[in-house]
Amino acid sequence: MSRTSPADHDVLLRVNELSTWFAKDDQVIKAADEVSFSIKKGEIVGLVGESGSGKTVTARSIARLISPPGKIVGGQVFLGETSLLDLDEDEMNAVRGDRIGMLFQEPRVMLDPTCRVGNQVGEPLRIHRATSKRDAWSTAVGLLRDVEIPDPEERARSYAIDISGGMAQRVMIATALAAEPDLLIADEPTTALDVTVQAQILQLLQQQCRERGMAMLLITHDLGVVAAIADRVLVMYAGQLVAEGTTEEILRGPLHPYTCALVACASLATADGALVTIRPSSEDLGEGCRFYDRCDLHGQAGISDRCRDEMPSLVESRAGRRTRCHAIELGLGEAVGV
Amino acid sequence: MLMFALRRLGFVAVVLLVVSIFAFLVPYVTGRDPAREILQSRVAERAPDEEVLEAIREELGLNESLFVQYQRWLGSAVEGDLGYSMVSKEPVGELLVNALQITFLLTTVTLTFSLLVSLPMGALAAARRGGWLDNAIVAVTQTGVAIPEYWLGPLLILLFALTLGLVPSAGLRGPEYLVLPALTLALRPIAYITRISRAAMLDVLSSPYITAARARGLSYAKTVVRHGIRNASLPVLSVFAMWFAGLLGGSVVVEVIFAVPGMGRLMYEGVLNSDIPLIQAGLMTIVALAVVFNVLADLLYTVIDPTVKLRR
Repeated sequence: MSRTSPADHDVLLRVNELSTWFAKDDQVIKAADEVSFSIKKGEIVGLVGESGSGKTVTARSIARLISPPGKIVGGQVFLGETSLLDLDEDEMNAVRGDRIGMLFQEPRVMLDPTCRVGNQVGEPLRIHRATSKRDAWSTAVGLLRDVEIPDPEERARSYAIDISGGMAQRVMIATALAAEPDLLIADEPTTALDVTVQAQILQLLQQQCRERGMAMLLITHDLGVVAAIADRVLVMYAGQLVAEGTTEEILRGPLHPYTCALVACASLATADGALVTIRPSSEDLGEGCRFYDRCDLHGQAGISDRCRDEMPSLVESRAGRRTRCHAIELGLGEAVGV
Repeated sequence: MLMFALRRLGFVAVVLLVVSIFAFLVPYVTGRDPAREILQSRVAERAPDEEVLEAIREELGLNESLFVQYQRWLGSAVEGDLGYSMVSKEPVGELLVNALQITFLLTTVTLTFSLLVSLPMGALAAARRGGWLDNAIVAVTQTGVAIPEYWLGPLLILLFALTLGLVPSAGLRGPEYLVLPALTLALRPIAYITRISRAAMLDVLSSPYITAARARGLSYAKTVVRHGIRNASLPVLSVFAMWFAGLLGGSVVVEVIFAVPGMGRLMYEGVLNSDIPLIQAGLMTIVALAVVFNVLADLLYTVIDPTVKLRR
């Protein structure tokens, strides 16, 4: 967890002003709006935010798995030296599953019901390494063993219907690991699982990242997940990145009012025992800060007009720590006790 | 698997027994006197002589109670003796086998052609969802469903047989005689199978596991081939099995129009002549075929899709 700005050769993924829009009727929804961040080799980065904040769209945009009406309309994505958005479809297919592995929220429906587990786990090798069917199968059995699935030979022969959700996510992890990717994009990998299984899966993910030197973009709405395994945290709100910092910084000293509210919600109750809630947002986003409607800080700081009318920018307060908030930028946060 | 098959066979036996009762009774509900019909068909002009009628009834066992007649009929049917046609005096079993062979051939040709046309059309429509090609295919299949065979058949005869002279219009003396009846019969299965394969493909293509397969690096086309087709084939298979069993019963309209001596025409003539043994055995055969094909389709599901559990 280096606090210094990473040297360029350490950077694995660089996302630069990535924008993905969805056309709905004659309206445009900016699901990801000029999102910029980077991930170092071997680093685990949490991407948090509420439903609809653009986490999944950002992640799928990186892998270019956005289908209409969604469209990547701008920005750049660099994986190492490769500019992903400039690749043609064949070149992109060569990246997916090979250099980027992916996990999804509902592991069981992510498995082809008519395909044996072993064949699916070995598929990236068949695609990217031209491995023979027999070799891919035996590698798959080894991978299933790596992700701590008991009796892997037997499991490789089973189908999605025969295995539990936690087991299915282990299978998905084994599949994602097959071609030894540099980056794992895990989209809510534990959300659909039993609480007891969640911790095991997280531990497994962390262990595999460490062993293989693999970086991970971990998408979640659960700060507990982030606290458990992430090195750094990105916070998204209404399509924008609003805060970035180390896990320690974000969880112990949140600056952005939305991050503060998230952290307060995660600890469930305030000192006087009342549940913390965040006001629901209104539908239309104005010119100014997207969190304006739900924020108490601008009133307390006396800058409501500015927050309503002018979009704050993502300002770096110190290396690796960025916040999108006028009040914080003006140093007014502390004055009102944030 | 074996238990499943055995249980299904038991089920088939029960269905067939129930159907046999109906098949046996159907000719009697017309209320006509079969002895009189037979006599009139042989000696047209004379008023039927009561003594002769009685002799015929005696000979055919028509004087016994329905239950005794049913027992006797079922007993010999189980032994493979389906009786003799009242009209041609030929064994009904032989008539049915000959007609079935022809209808089977016609059905196979029809449905092979239907699949060759409809599967690519359905997949293409799904791949181009909402595009002009999709819209065109959907419109054509909608029209196809609505076109009756008694209209299409004569139209094809007029065009291809009479005007263009490309193929013969009636009879069955070579493979070329099957072209027009198969074309006529294929229209509706083509329409239905295209629609079901389009829907199945759309359903599968929006499935999460397709996204997951893409995330592994498969191209869209390879994803469809490796993970799409097998999953989409189940609903298509059930519609196909339905059509196969249905067409094996013979199409009265098409076989009469094109003078194809298949099941449809045999049954049509049997009904016209009140040929009771023929009607009874024909009905049983058609139902038995439908039931057997459904069981075969069920067994095939379990081979294609492991999630289809072998129960019931």
